[in-house]
Amino acid sequence: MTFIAVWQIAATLLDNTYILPRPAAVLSALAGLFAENDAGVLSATLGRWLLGLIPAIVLGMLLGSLSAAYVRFGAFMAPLFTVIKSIPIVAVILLALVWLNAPLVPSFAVFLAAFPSVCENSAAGVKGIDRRLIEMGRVYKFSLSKRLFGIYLPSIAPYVVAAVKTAAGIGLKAVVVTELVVQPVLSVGAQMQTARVTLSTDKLLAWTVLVIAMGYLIDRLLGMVEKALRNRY
Amino acid sequence: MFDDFSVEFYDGKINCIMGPSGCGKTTLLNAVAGLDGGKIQSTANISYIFQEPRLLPWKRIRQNIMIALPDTLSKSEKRERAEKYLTAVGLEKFMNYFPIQLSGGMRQRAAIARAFAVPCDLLLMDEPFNGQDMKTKDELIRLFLKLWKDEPKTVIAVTHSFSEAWLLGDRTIVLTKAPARIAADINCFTPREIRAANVDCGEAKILRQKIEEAFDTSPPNPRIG
Repeated sequence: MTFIAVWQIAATLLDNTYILPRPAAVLSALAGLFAENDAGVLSATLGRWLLGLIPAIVLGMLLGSLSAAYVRFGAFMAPLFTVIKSIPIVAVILLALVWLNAPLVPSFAVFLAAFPSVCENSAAGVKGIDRRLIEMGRVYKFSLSKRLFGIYLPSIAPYVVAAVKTAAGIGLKAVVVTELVVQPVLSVGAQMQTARVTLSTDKLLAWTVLVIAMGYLIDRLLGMVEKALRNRY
Repeated sequence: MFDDFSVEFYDGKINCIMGPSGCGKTTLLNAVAGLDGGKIQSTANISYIFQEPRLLPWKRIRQNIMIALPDTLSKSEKRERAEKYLTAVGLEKFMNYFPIQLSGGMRQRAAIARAFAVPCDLLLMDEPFNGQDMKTKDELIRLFLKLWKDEPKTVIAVTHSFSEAWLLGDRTIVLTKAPARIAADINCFTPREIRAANVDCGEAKILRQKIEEAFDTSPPNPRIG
């Protein structure tokens, strides 16, 4: 509330709807967003986000677990990993535009942004598995599926959830930024660019608020999952 | 670790193993269990009670027992068996609880229930009564003996305490420090029911004496603990 109050005061003082529209204006712009086909826009962006996020999670878990379990593989992965982590996102976007189909680029950016986090956290999870439980499983002759679903996966679950939470947030930022550059027709990024170009800062802020709200919701949801897991252990 | 070692364990009896720390008691047990590359036994059905309960924290204790049961049983058979043994150890009111919600003694009871619920030819124990206070220890030993009496099986129990060896063992082997050899091999025939009350009887005295001798004749151990 204080934030909005400060915002209102600053906007009135500046009296420039281009630089800082009043909260009310942004609110009505927000309402306007829903009136148009913007549900479609939002779901398109979220779709691209998921398209990059899900492979990042699956591959990240797989490669992370393997690199923790098998030292050679981990050593092999390490340099590749550092490279992926350090590439600036702009370079990613531009290179991807050269190599891939334009529509795939935002998803690819999400993948590259999210993958390292999931990978590292899964590796940490595997390293943290209690050896004594594994021993117990071996003595009691646990089958592979018992070991996998009874011991390994529940052990690394908290790490993976934490990773997904971080990755989801990073991915969301990545997809919007990429859309700004690539400008697919139905996308939040493109809408933001249009708003900027047409000097509709209220619309721009409205979109920003929307994305922030989405990010917050996802964060809260995953936070609840995290908490539920923690209570069990 | 071992020097020209060969032992024959008595079938259907409780065999206790004692020895100074680091002599390899746990290694021996693990070898029998087929852990750490041990190849002594690989086909027998084995149950193991560890020093810590080693329950899966994310499963309720009933499910903890069920997951250890062989897949030849149906789900309802597993459930029945798990509940039967949990009741036998006095945890019938706690079957839906997670390990973290139970006390240390209760968790070890669940581990004991698991060891008996899993059909086995050989039951291994590595100082399972160790981390508990004296009262809980007594209860757990009594509980264990009650379960074992109903379903006698070959037991190999590593222990650190004379009283455990006396209360449990039909036979106690004392090892020397590494490289371990058998320093003493004592049989006790006193019926178990009266052992608790007769800690000073003839056999107990002999047991204690032999254990002390075996520990004394061990070359001084430079390691602490």
